[in-house]
Amino acid sequence: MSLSSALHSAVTGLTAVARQAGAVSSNVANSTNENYGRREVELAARAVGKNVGGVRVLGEVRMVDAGLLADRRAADAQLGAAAVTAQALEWIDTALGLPGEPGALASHVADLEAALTEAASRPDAQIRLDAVVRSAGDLAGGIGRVAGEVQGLRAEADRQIGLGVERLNDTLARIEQVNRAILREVTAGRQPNGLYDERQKLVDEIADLVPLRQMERPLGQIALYTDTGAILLDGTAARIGFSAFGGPIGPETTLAGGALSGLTLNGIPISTGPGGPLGGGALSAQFALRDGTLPEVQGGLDALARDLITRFETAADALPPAERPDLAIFIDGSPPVPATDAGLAQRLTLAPALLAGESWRLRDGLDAIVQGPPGDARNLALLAGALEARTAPPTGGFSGTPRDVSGLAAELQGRIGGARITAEGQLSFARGQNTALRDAQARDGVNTDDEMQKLLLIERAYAANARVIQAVDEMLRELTRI
Amino acid sequence: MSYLTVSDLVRTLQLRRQTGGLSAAISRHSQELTTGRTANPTQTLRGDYTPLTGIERSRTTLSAFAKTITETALHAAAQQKVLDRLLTDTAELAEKYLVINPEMPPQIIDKIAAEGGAAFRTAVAALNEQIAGRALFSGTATDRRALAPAQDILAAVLADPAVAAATTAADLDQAISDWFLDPGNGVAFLGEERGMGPFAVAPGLSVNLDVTARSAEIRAALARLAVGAAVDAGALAGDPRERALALRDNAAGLLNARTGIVALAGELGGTEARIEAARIRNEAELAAMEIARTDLIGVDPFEAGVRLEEAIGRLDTLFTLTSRLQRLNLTEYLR
Repeated sequence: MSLSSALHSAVTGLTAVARQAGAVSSNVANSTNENYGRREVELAARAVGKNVGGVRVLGEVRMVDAGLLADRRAADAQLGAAAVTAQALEWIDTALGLPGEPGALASHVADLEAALTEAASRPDAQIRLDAVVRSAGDLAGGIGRVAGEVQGLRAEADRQIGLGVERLNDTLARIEQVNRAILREVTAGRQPNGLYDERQKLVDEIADLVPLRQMERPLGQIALYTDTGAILLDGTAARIGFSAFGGPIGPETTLAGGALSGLTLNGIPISTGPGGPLGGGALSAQFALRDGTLPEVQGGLDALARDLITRFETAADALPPAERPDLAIFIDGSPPVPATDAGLAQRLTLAPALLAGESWRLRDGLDAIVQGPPGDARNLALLAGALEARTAPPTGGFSGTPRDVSGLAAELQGRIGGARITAEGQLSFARGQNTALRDAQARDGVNTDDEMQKLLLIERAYAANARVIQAVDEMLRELTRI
Repeated sequence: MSYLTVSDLVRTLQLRRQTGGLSAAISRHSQELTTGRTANPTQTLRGDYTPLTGIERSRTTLSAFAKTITETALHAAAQQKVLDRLLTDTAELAEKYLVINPEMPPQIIDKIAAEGGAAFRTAVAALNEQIAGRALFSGTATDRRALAPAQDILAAVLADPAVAAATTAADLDQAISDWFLDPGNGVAFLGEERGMGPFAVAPGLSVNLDVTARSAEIRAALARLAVGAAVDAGALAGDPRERALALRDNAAGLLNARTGIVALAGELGGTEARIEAARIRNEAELAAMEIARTDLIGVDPFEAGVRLEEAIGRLDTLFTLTSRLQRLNLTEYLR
């Protein structure tokens, strides 16, 4: 213990206080930065070495709760998946429309029933027969329109998968680069806290696509895995392969049929389902939409279209074959070869004679040669009866309870509405969880009041250390003056 | 430092979230207030659209039934009026015929016969009536007249060999009856046999208007009236006694035919009653549907107004709080 060691200790004190001031200023500068880890300087007394006494800066520590971070990232992935599903189902539900609103599917069915009733009251009125043709056309068009929206959503899901995979690949490559930069800094003995912040931000950017787990590796490195154990980054970044379809998607464009692409991980094809290697986040939710949920909706619409066609084909079956008029007002506009019901919803249209304006055929039969008595309402009554007949479509996910057309449309809409409610419930739960975890994480952030208090201490400590140096300097000068 | 601190960001995020939530609540409640309907029907219905679909479908189809009821009731009432007129005319004519005795001078017979001719023409015209562009008694051929013009029918009747060969009142009566009751008679009867309908007036209920000019009772009535017209047009010429007898015996036939018409009118009245009952039932159901719809997705405007006031008040408080907390930091005090 000598004057020189006192001087030395004061100098270390100044250095330590300067580092603390640096940490405080960095914290205050980043007080609104969500991706910032609050810096705290760790100090220890000098106990060994040539000059005992003084303070030693151990380093700047980033105050980040790793467990909370992992939980929040898991919640991000759930939120991403729930948001994708809920939004798509809301779109379909809106396309189907609320019963009673003009343009809703259920309203088209009711309007057709009403038009047939009014035409049966005045079968001689051309205007009423035309109204029936118009309502029937609206119904066929409405079913086709909703099916078109479904395929549009599939194309959008495909596009989003392409964008997501691109984002994933790019970000993993950048994380690999940051890892290497951190390695360089750490082996040189420095503490690259800024790089740690940047790496955390990059990982957060892809946390909604796939559920991530971050593992610590030596020398400040990290490895990234998914929940199910697929390696995304361990030393080198993995490469995820996907080719977007690039054009309008139709009901016949499927993954099973080979037209749509699946995923590859480093060149090896992997499953795209929710239990697959990249499952659980927004990416697998888009796949579930494109290959599962939306094709099911299309299937339901196709089954409804087939049911409509069949109802009117068999509308007059109660009559003996010789007297049966042709009442098949709905047809498949362009039947594909080989025959399939996939996409029937888009192909559903009216019989050509009705499209050509011969609405009197509703009254007299599509195969009538000449117009019959204008007051004959029997065929119109059969047409109305066809709509009210109770059938159960064998395909399309219907329950099997025989219903009339209005009931079948309500059942289809109810399925989608129920799925929407479930998805929205999951979304609001995921959102709540995500918010709570973000709040908990944000609590660890910068509190400017706290930093100001630290700054008061720092100011005093700096002044005190400087004063010590001044005092020692005076004492030394005393010595040499003698 | 190991004690707990709460960062600035937490408070900011919470305040922003709450402001966003309250603004959304305000816009939702004001929408509900102005439309009277819930702003998020899917949530309110829990995704089950079946009851609402049923209600909306009922409302649409009930208004179609109402139109059918109006038009069908109009048609039935017009038919009933014609049947009424037939009943009145035949009764009056029968009274006139009953005072005849064969010893009366021929001129008086001729005058009474002329009334018979007029009655026949009136009946044919009445049966040929239309309403709202549709023939009343032509069945499904609503664009054609039910009967040929009276003079054409009469000419055809008199040209009939059996009628021309008749020499007694009984023969004349029989020949004319046979002519009118012949089911293949396409000269007089131009309409269809099948009546109009079915008209759907209520869910699951249809009515038919079966009375046409080809109905047996109307044919019988026309046959009876035609006897008088034939005598007026010159049948049994030169035999005043037979002419008088033909007219006097026709009175009984007319009264017989009347019972047939009364039966038709009774059936038609029953149909009219069913239509009216359907109308009342449909109106009640429509009112019930309106109430059910409000129950499902409607919102009480008073309640919506109260909620709106409440949300506005809370947002106000939040803004005050935000601005107060804004000044509550150490940096402010160290200035």
